[in-house]
Amino acid sequence: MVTDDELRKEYAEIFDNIHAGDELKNRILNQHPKKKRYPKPFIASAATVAAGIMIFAAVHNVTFDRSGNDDVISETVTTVDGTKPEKTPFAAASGSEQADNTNDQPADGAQQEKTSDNVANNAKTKKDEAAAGSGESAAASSGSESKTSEQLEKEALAEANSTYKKAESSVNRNSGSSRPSGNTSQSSGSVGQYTAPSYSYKNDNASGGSLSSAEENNTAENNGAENAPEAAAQFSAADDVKTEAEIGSRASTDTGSSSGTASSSMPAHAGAGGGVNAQHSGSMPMVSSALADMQEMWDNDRYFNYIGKDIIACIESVRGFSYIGEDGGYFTVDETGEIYDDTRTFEFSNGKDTLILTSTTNTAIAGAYMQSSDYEKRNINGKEAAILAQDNKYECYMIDGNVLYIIEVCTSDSGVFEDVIMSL
Amino acid sequence: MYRYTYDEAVNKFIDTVYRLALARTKSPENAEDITQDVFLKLIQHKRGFDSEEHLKAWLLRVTINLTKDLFSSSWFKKTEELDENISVHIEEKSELFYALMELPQKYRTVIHLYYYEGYSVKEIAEITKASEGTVKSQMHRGREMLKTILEREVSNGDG
Repeated sequence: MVTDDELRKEYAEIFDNIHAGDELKNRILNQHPKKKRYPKPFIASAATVAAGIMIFAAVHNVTFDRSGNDDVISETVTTVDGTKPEKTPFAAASGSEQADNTNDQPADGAQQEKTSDNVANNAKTKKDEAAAGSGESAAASSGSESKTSEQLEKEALAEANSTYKKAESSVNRNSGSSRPSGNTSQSSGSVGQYTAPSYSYKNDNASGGSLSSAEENNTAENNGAENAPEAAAQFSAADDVKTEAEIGSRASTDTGSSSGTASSSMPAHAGAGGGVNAQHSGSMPMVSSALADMQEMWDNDRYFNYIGKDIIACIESVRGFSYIGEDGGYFTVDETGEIYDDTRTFEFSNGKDTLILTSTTNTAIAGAYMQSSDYEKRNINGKEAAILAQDNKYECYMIDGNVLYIIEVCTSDSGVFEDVIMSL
Repeated sequence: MYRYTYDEAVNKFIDTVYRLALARTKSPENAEDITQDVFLKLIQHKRGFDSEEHLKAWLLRVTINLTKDLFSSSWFKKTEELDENISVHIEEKSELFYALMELPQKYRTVIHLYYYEGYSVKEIAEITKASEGTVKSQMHRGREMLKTILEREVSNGDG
């Protein structure tokens, strides 16, 4: 008959001799987390931006100048007989036909036909030459071709004008003041000024892509519009005439905070903007679907049992606060059913004051605040707290056992804040 | 909050995890795989631990869950278990060990946690996510079976 003690002793003798091998130990010490199943956001973003650029290039018949390192987009401009026209004086000055799409100022005020419309480009080349008084245009082609070009030019001008007006009215509708008053397309600065904020409209006569992307990106658009004169002044030809690749990288690095400069600087705004939007609407569902496998819905009662306090009951007991948040929250759980991050946020209001309370068992978050000299340290009913009072906003980090409460109260009455923190 | 490094955790608990995995799977190869996966889970684990005991209990719980996953995998069901692999590490005095290995897995687990890891019935219930009554019952039945097997071995040896 084996007693418990004998069994325990014999069991220990057996298992004490069992060890994980050194090879296994080394393997475990050197192992790294498996790669995530979903692409990282920036990879998805880069891919989307690249696709956007390719589509943009295809739609606008843009070719990338890979012959040199001058980072210049060269648009394909052909005459009726398919031959390339000679360079305009502006293009010659800047090294590219596209230079006349930027801040280069025309010799006179008759440049309102400037657009990046592909059709208009044919005519534009001729028009630029005429405006500059170079006299090269007529000599560059035969008489019949010249006549055809002129007809084409007229059509292009009409179309360009309507496109420009459409774009202008759209910008005005979106931003209210897309450009300073009196700044018409006939003013001498019209090309540059109208290039900066509304470039995407100007360069997109066929597809609605840029128009919609500009509308979606209201912040950037407005910034661009409000800063139009400054932006126009800031954008040199070299700034505006970048390669698509550069635009792509710029757009991808600017996804975090689109500025007017970044979003309005290039025609690729349409593609880049689409990419950014696609990043949010396209890749995020992938992430959420990957996480959805491990998510668990906890109602408020379950959460309160978990942290050991009915937060809603506590807060609703003071100053007429009532809970205005959700009845539960989703948590990502690990393979044991434990939640990874147990942070929950609860919103309250009493009609006059608002209160946001965040709770978590990750008390390490409070460490920096507890040590910060900006925060007043207090002991509230035996609970350690760090408080910051600013105007009508109060912020408090309070640790109760193993739970951290982050309390933010917007109130003009400091008594409200005191009552709230005392209620917990 | 208990502070530890990954290397410390591995050095300290690798044997604990491996032994429980071995007790549950009866296969050193599977036990090694399980052990490796357990520590991979530890790398991926975002939340902290209150104490060393908390970490240990978490590791044991993950070990149990991963072995459950292994047993329920189609690969495992199609693969023949090689019980004799276990003899690699065990010397001749291990009648008890072989008797243990004859027990159903659920009994092996509670007996291992109780007799070797020194956990109470309540703690075992928490680790295995079972009720205390279930654990007590499994302990009792496991012990009874163990005695029966050992007695049978003794009588066979005498005969």
